[in-house]
Amino acid sequence: MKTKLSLRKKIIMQTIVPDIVIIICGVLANLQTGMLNNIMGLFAIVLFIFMFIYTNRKKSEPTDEMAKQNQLKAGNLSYTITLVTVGLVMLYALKFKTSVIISMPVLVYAFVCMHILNLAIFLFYDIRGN
Amino acid sequence: MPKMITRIKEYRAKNNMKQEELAQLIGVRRETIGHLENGKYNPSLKIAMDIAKVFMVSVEELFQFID
Repeated sequence: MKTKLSLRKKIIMQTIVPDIVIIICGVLANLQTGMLNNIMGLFAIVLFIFMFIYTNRKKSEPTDEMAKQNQLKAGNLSYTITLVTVGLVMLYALKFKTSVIISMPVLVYAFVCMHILNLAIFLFYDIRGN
Repeated sequence: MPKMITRIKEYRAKNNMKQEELAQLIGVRRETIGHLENGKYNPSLKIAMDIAKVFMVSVEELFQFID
């Protein structure tokens, strides 16, 4: 009998795997130079597509209204947290007249952190209940 | 804030039904049924009516709000 993939597992796989791949690729790209650097992004994209196809082809639980509601709540909260963080950084920058150059990899890591935060909040709501 | 109490667990036991089976019948996850039974999730009218239909009772019989 084929087992159904639980919705939580599916969401975790769809979130964590790409994030880990991005982090590993970023770290490897920083260490290596040359040919490998150029194909690192492509490697990540192939893995994303593979994960997307795998999780969508495998039979899984339905995304019911509780899950949708929890995703919405998690999205709202992570959006608020991100805005507050950005606001605080801006306040700090204005107060101490600081300017920092943020590199692209750091920006990507920030995005990955937001993504993981969103997943953590979703799981919190989903496990605790409304 | 009024607290919601449900009699889903009671009716499920009467019908000798598992959470998983009820979840499949109304097209939701088992976790949703668990949260519903514990009063941790306020369902939509559709889900409430679907559950009532499964047990052949009225929605008021299954869900009550107490102050």
